[in-house]
Amino acid sequence: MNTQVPPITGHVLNIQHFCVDDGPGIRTTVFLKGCPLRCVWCHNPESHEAAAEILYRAERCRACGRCAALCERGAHTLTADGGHSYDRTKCIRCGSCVKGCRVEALEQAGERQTVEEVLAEILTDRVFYATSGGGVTVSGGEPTAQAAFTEALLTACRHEGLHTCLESCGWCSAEIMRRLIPCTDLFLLDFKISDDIRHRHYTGVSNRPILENLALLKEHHARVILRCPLIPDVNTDTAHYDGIASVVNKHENIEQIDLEPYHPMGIGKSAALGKEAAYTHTEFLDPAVAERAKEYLERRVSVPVRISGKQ
Amino acid sequence: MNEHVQYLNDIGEPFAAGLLEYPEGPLPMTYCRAYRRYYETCPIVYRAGAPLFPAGITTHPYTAVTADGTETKTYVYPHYAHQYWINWPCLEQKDARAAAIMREYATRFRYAGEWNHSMLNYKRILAEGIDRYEQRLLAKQESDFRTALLDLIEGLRTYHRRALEALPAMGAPEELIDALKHVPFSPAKTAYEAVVALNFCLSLDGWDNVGRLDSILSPYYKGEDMRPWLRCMMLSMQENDRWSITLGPDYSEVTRQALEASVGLARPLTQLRVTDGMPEELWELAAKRILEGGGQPAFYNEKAIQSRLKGRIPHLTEEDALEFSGGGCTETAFAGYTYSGGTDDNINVLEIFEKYMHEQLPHAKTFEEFYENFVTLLHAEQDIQMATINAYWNRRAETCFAPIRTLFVEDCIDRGIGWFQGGARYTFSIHSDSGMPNTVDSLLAIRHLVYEEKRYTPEAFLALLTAEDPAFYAELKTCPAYGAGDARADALVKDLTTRFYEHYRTGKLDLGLGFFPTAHQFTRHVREGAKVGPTPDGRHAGMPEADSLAAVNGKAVKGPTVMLSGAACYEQKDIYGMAVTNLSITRKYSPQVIRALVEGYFALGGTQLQITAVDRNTLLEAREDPDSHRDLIVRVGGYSDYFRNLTDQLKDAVIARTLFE
Repeated sequence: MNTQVPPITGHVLNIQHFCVDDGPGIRTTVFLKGCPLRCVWCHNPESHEAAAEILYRAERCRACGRCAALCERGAHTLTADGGHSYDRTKCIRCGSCVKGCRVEALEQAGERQTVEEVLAEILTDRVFYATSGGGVTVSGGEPTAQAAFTEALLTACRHEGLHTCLESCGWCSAEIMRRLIPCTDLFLLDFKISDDIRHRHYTGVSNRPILENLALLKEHHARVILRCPLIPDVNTDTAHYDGIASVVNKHENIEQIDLEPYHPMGIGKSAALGKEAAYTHTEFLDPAVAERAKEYLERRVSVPVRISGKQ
Repeated sequence: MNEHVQYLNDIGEPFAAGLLEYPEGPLPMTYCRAYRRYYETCPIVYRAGAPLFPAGITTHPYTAVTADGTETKTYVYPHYAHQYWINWPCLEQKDARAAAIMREYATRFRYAGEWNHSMLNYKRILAEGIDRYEQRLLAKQESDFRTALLDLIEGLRTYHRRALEALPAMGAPEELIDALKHVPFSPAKTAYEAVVALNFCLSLDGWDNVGRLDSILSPYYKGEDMRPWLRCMMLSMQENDRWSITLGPDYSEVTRQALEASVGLARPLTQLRVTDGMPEELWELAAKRILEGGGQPAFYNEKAIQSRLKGRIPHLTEEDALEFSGGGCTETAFAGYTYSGGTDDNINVLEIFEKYMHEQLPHAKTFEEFYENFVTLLHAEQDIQMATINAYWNRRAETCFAPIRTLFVEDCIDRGIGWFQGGARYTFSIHSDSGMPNTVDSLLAIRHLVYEEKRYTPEAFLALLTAEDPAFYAELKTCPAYGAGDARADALVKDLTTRFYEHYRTGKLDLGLGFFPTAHQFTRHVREGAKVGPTPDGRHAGMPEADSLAAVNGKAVKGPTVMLSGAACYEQKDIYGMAVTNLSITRKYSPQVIRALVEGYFALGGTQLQITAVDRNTLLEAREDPDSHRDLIVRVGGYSDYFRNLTDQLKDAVIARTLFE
């Protein structure tokens, strides 16, 4: 009888090197698949579902027919006029077509990987973590949605002596959050909208569990940076800024506010996923709005307020 | 005076006339007399009020006065690398007879080989003065060599006297005139005199390279603000299109002032030797300069460079090793003690690969067979390259003599041997290669598509490549590549570069220590790329090759840290000339991030790193409207220049270079 415990695996969306906005120093950020929130402005729609998804970029497709030959479900077909048609209703996301595509028109978002595999990739940048005071950040999607994998990965990184950050929306059970505290050096916790009704409207969930987890982190003296997206027409109002200030002033373990200005980079991805973008602002947030938010907050809190992407 | 000499003097070509005073040699006399005649007649170049003399463009063509008192342009003149230069079309146009005379002697004076660089022993010149050099020569036995160099010093003395006579009327400050009364013939006594002497003698060597600027001046420094003086010297270097200064590892206040003095200049190239003990203040200053754009300074890994050079040159002393400097663009030299050629020759690895691929791919049964036969061919080409260099080094020694460098580089006087003839304490040939990263990626694509996935027969592969088929090219871009975090790809880089560079140890250079390769491209990657057809790294016919040893442009998809880890797999232990690594960043990272990238790469064994901070939009705007971006400086392959000065093709190459968002 095989008594070996199978290795813990996670659905990994992407491993990104040389991140300088996801915690201190130079970091590698591991993006995991699956998120319980559906923020309308999300620029990573391919991270929403836990399972793998197929992105199709028509502009790269040369209608060579290899994917059609490989697809057993008939999701990919060549049309009479020499084009390519992709019927997502027939697709079971097995990924066979992606293996056949030679021009990266088809791409699979998400892959099952073991902790060891992810760790090996993280460790290739070890020397730069040492020279910069950086480390690893686990993000998403929502990493707490894959709590066992996240815990195992962060613990493995800790064993390697790496500094660990967890970037989370904070929407998870207290039990999960408790398990992640000991293996996390710094939490990068999102705080998107202060008003709960608006929070439900724009993200699909209540912000109550998030606030409860913030209280839990305070209780455990866990270090927190509060990350606040600035989304035009959603949360760039002083009422929300007052809400941020109120939260920060109640939690002395919050040591910094990161303001994250909206960018429209995710809009093209929705189309590649065959989805409609719920939020269609195509302009970057006016930098002056972020500067005003920063100034407003700086007058009301005693911790540093930073605008992401600016150093 | 023979008839030709008289004629050339009459038409205002005194340097050419000098060359023909002893046309049949001995060689030192031929050249030293020409230099003497030049210094007796050359213009006194000075900008009113400048703290140093000369100040401005002293290189040529220049204006000379003919026998009847008229001024005329002069087209035969000294050259810092070639020792003389003839502007044939202009000379032909000016005076057909003069051109015919010079052509008659062309074989005799033909310069063999390519560029070369030097650094005079400025420390000794400043400490002893040129008078002491004269005494050293007089203490030696009578010889043509001694007579020739004394003749040269006579010329320098005349030039110095002419300058002292002319400067008061040219608006020179009294302080400068007073200093010039002492230096460079007597030892420098103050920091100002030291800079005046350095500037004067640097101009004699065509402003080529200073060597260790901070180390040269530190003994004289007593709290002065040297920046205006250094700035004046650097500006002349830039105006004359010359090269470099080296700073560290004895960091001092002069190091800081030198870094500050060069802000905003494309030249000199600033080479900063980095040790574990480099002060925080210098890191911040260096990172700040990087973030301002312009790619200065370049960082040099002191520990790695020292240990490798000591391994290659058994008799290299600690003291001399400390004089390590990057001359020219980046070529290794021990300041004051070296003749290291320059870009003696280039081997275009990608061009060799392209020809080999078309001939042999259809016949190779396995990738291993294909690869091994290529390495064998490459070694044969390297043997030819080394034999060629050796031959023209010998030919150059028979036809050329470098007066200034023989006088001021150790141990030429002591040995009584000219600089070109192997008189320097350390003599070695620096030469380069191009297209290595492209070749590695081409090999990877062939292994992947032909031998492993078997998507194409060799014939079909070559046919699609030759046709530059768009779908095939899209596929090539998805193949494994060097510098993108693929361990197998990086292992192939290591193997090929190790075997390639180690092979240079087998060559024999009659006049020196041997062959020191350098992986630096200058602007050669564009010229060399133009010779090569489509290659499987996804490069189209005629496009530039990689601009440094790092990943091919556009292939470092995982960002700078992964790219640098890959570059550290490019075997650098046998690249004594210098292993140039370019990294472009398009965002204003913090100084801490810049430092972390440099220190991380060096911890992995990288020897040199030059970081250029530019944002892509700026480059695109500058491409469209160069005149509104006149201050934009970019650094490419060991070379930096104003963006607007680059050819359109090179501008495009810079824009296409790996840019990290």
